[in-house]
Amino acid sequence: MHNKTITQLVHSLRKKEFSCTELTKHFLERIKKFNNKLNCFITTTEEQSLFQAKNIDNKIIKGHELSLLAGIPIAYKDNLYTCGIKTTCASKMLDNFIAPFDATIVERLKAFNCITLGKTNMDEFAMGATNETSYYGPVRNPWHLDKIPGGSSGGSAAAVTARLVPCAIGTDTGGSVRQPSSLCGITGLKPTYGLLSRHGIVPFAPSLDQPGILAATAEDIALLLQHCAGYDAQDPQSLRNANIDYTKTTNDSIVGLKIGIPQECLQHFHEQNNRKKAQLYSDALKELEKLGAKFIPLSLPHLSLAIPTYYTIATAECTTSLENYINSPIYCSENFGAEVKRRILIGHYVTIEQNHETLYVKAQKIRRLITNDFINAYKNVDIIITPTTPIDACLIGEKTTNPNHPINKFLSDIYTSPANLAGLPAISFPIGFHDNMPIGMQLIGPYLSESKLLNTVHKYQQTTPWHNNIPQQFV
Amino acid sequence: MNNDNLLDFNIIKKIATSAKIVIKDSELDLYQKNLSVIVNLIAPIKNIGTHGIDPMTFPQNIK
Repeated sequence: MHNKTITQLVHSLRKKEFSCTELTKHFLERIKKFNNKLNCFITTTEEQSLFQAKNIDNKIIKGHELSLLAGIPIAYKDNLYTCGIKTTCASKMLDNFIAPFDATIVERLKAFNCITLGKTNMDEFAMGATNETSYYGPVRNPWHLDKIPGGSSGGSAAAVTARLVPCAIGTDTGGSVRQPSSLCGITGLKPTYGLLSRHGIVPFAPSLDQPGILAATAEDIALLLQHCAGYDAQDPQSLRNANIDYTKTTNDSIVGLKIGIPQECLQHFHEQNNRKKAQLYSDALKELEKLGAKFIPLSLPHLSLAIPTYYTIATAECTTSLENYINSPIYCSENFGAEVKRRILIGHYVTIEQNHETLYVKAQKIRRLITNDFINAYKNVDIIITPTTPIDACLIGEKTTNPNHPINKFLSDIYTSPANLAGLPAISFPIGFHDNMPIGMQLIGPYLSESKLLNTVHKYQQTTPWHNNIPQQFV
Repeated sequence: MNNDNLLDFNIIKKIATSAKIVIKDSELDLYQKNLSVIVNLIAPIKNIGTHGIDPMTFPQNIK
C-alpha cells in the first residue's frame, strides 16, 4: 500500500481493494516500525486516526458521497494547530501545549475526511535548515541515517520519503518545504503567498510564511492543493482568487513552454558544485527540452542580496512573532534553543534605532528590487528554473561544530528565499542522485501559476523514475 | 574573522536586554562569534542604492 501514490490510493479505496481502516493501520504500523530510526514524528495519534478511519468506512458502507481524499492519511508539521493534539513547534517552550482549535488547512482536510496520523518533527519554531534545532532531537535522512533531511520541515520530508505517510503539510518561510524535499528526493510545493491560509499556524515571519505540501509526485500535490486552497477570512493576507482546478491541467502539453535560466544561479552553482552534480542539472534540462520546453537565459541582478535581505526581514519579524512567549509569565525565554535566541537577537539588532533605516527598511526596499527582477523576467519567460539548493545533505552535527555555522545554514536558502521575498509559487522535484543522495531542482512561477508548475513537473515525472525511488530499508 | 569584525560585548548585552533573552557569561564568546558572522553577512545591504524605492512589507503590496 505504501508504494502507491495518493492518486493510486484513491483509486484502490474506490475499488474497495482495501478499507480506510486497513490503510490507516498499515501506515501506523510503518510509523511504529521506523520512527525510532528517523525521529520524524513528535506525536502520533493512533486512537483518533483509527476512530476517523472507521467512521469513513461506515460512511462508505452507507453509500455517502465522499471527497476524493476521503481516507487518505496525512501528517502535519508540528507548528500547525491541531485541536486537542499537542502542537509543540519542536520547542521545550511548548512541550505540553494542546492547540484549542484546528488550523484552517487542517480543518479543511479533516472536512474532506483525510486521516491525521500525527505531527512531524521540525526545526524549533521553523528556524533552521537542517532539522537539528528541534528540542526532540534531529530528524534523520531516510537515504543516509547519519545525514540531515534539511529543514525546517525535515520531519515531514523524511516521513513522506520513507513512506510512513503518503503526504504532509509543512511551512515554507525561506525554503523550508523545498529544501528538505530536495535533500530527501520528494516533491514539495510552496504556493503563492496568500493562497493557503496561515490561520492556526504558529508564525515565524508573517510576511514570508506560507504553508506548503510535500508528497511523492506533482500529481498528488495538485490533488491536495485542490482541496486546501481558497480564501479564508481569518487570514488577513488570504487571496480572493478565482477557483482554479489544479488537477485539470497537470497532463497538458508543455511544448513551447519558455523556461528562464538565471545566469547568476548558474554561475553560483558551478562555483559551489562539482561537474558530476552539474551534469544532473543538464540532464534534467535536456529531459524538459525533449518534452518541448525552450530555455532562455535571463538575469536576476539582485539575487546575491536575497540572503542578507531575507535574514534581515525574517529575524526582525520573528522578534514580534515570539513576543507573546517572551513577555508571557507562563513561558520562560530560557526555554528557547540557541538558534531561536540567535535569531531573536539579530532581529533586535536590525531594528534598533541606529539600524532601523540602514538595515531593516533598506531590506524591505531591496525586497522590492528582487521582486521587480522577477516581474521583468516573466515578461519574456513562463517560468524560471534553478537548483533547489547549492548544498548537499551534510552529516548531523557536521556544521554546528563550525563557528561559522549560521552562515553555512543560511546559504542553503540562496535559491529558495527569493520566491518567499516576492511571494511567488515554487516547487522542488527530484532529478537524480549524487553520491547516493537525491538532488532536486526548483521551478519558480509568476503569481498564481501553480497549475503551470505542477503541469511541468508532472510531465517530467511521467518520463523519469526519480520520484518513485524509496530508500532500500523502507521499501 | 578578525577581531575588528566582532560585535562589541556591550552591544550584545544591550540587545539581549532589550530582547529579554538571558545570555550567560559563559555563552558570551560563542554568541559574539555567531552574531558577528550574521551581522557581517547582512551588512552589504547598507551600501545598496535604493533611492526612490518604496519598502515592500508584504508580497501582495505589489499587486
